[in-house]
Order: sequence, then structure tokens, then C-alpha cells
Amino acid sequence: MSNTANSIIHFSTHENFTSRLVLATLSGKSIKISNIRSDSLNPGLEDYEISFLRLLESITNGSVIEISYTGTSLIYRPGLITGGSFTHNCPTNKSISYFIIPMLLLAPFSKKKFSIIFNGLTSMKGEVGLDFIKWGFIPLMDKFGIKDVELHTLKRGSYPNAGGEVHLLVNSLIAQPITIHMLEIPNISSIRGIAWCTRVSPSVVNRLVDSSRQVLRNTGCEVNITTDVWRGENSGKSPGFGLTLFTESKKSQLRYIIDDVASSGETPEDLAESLSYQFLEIIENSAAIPRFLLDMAFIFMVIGKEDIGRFIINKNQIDNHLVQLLRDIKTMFNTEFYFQEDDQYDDVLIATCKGVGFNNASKKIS
Amino acid sequence: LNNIQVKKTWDINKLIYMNNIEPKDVISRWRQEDDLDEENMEPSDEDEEEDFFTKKEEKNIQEVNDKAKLSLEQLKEKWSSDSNSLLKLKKRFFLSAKQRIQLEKDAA
Repeated sequence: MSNTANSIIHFSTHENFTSRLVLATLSGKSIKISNIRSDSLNPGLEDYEISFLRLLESITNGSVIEISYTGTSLIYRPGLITGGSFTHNCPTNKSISYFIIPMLLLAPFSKKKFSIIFNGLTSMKGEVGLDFIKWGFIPLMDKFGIKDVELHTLKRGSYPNAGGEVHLLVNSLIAQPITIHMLEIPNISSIRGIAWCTRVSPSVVNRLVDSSRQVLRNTGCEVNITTDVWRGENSGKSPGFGLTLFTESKKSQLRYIIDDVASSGETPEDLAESLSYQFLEIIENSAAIPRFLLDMAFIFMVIGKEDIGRFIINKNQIDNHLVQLLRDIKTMFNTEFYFQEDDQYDDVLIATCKGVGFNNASKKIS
Repeated sequence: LNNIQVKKTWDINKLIYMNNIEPKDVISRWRQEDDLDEENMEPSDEDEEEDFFTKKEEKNIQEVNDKAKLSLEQLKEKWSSDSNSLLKLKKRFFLSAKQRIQLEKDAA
């Protein structure tokens, strides 16, 4: 016991809050996070961060979380990931994707299967929505050998009154992710999308589709956007609409993907037009996957088998958040990524990393 | 000759794990925007004071979503129907059978 106290790893500020806790849980190392908004007018942990800690406590066995009196620092000693089935009520000022994405990183390495029902906000400006998880994160997990991940939307709930309900099911329990070699930029065979709305006139989704097609027509590629209109009980408590765009390719199940939801006063035309242009930007500035999915890919690469994994990225995708993540990974797992130039493509780097040979601790016992 | 600036090219692999450099500066040094940065840094006596008083809350953490920095007008121009960017991007799309037949017809 005495040496565990010495081996606490220190982090500062609320930056990368969920990914640090996820890395701690995976590595089994205790962490201390201090200076959480210590110079803010509203210091300490936010309610959604507390809610996340609660969720973490429910899916693990033996975790200890100590929060200081002011809430500006916390100590987390991770237990075993046990999973289970229960309901988690999320605060309505944060999208449920904030809770689901970290769960996706932990669930495959659990003792029991994950079956969690999340209640809360299914879409929010600046955060990814449900369709993004379905068509972006889940195919990426599949690539790493994690199959049978399902996300069922029972009710959608738009900002601000929420009322959404989502069922996350992770059926495959594996020892570690498989080593990945993603060295080619896949060609795009078609562009697809989903336009959804809750508690507004169904014509809104058609307006989204039309405006988006107008922009994407220039690519000469087949564009196929489906509509998803939610009515009555299942459409939550607030009006809202949004659009998810993604590509389809024949060789790879990975997709370039982007989504957005309307803020108040935004017309469907404005939203769809600007999102479609940004979608083209995303395709231009991504190699294998868009930036938002990279965090998950890198974490899975680190905890893979003791073999060198390779993943192609665009140079523009290296930003300060990624640098911070790589540093956090190094502090927790003592593994470095190495980036090398690629002779096949311009503006591209190959991220290589040796897996730490992580073993699903929960599985060995069962 | 004075115009030739000797810039140190940084190896991204070293930069990433130099913990004494802020992640933000890692990116600017790597992209070789650092000379601009330093100019801004030098006369910063007042700036520092201002920094001291402004709360650092602005960082907007978690927003990693790939948001484009260009305005809508710039984007429209960049991706107009016969722009270079679009032509370049088109190479990454498969053509459907119908489109290929059309192309052959056009060529003939």
C-alpha cells in the first residue's frame, strides 16, 4: 500500500479530463488532478464531470475517488472494469456523447458486458451526435477487432430540455485491440448523410438535404442523404435539427465524417451549406480518419499487442490537443509515438507505435 | 542576403515530448511560425500583466471537433466548381460506371 501512494501520477487543470481518467483506468495507475479551474470564478469540477466520475464508479469495482473540499483537485485510484447493465442520467448541459465515447474505450476490456441506458441530451452544438458515434466511432472500433457494438436511439433529445434516451451495448470482450496497419488513403465511392429533426416541421430535413446536395454536387460523387424525423413521445422535449455527413468507400469501413446541430435562429439552409463545405475541408485534411476519431485510434494503438502498429495521418491533424494526448499517453504508459514521412503521399505522416501488451486484467480473473 | 532567414527545422518527434514547451508552441514551432510568435512575445510587459488578470478559462478544452478556420465566403471560393482544391479532391473519389462512360464519350 505504501508504494501506491508514491506512484500517483500528477496532472494539472481540467484539460483532457475524460481521456486522462480513461487512460488511468486502462493502465490501472492512480492519478491526481489538481488546479481544476482553480483561478476561475466558478472553481472546481463541473456537474457533468462529477456525473462522469459517478459513471466511472458504476462501471468499475474498487475504484476510489477522493475530491477535495473545493473541488479543485481529485485523486482517482482505478479498480477493475466490471461493466454491467444500468441507467445513467446525464446532466442536460452536456451531450451524452461526452459520456459514451469514454465508455467505448473502456467497455471492450470489461469483465461483464456493457449495457447502459443514457438519459439526457443527444445533440449539442460543438459536440458530436449519435449518428457520428454510429458511423464514425463504431466502425473504427471494428477495425481494432471490437465487434458487436450497438447504439440504439430510443428517444432523441435536443438542447436545451433534453429528454433523449440511448442504449449502448458492447457485446465483445477482448483481451487487447489488434495491431493495425492503416497505410493507404481509401478512395471515396459515395457520400452519405443523415438529416434529423425533433419537434419541428418535417420539411426541415428536406431543406437540409437540398442545400447540402447543392454544395456536394460539385464533387461529381453520388450523394445520398436519408431523413430521420422524430415525432411525439420519442422526440424529446425541445425542437431541434441537425445533419451528419460521411463518406463510404469500398476498401475500408473507416469514414470521413462530420456533424452539426442548429443553434437558435440558424436556418436549415445555412447549417447544411456551411457543414457541407466543412465536410470537404475534412476530407482534404484527413488521411485515414478525421481528427476527432484520432484520439480513440491512438489510445487503442497504445494498448495493443507488443507489435508495431502504423496509422496514416495528415500533417494538419497534429494540433495542440493531440500533442497533449501523446504526452499524457507517455506519462501513463511510457510509450512514445514516432512520426515518419511517407513517400507515397504528400502532407502525410505515418504514426507508428509499439503496443504495451496490455492485458485485460478483468478477464484473467473470470 | 539579409532576407534569407536561417530557420531551425524542428523534428516533430522530439518536439512532442519536450514537456517544457507548451503544446500550442510545439505546433507553431513545427510549422515554423515561431518567428512571428517571438515578435509578439518580446514587448510583452503589459501583456503579461493583462494575462495575469484575465482568467485562463478561455482555452475551450474538449472542442477538438475538426472545425474549419475559414469563413463561409472563403470556403465557397475555395470549393467553387472548377477550383484547384476541388479538382485535387476529385482524385480521391471513385467514378461510377455511368460517369466513366460519360467521360469516355466526352473524350471521343
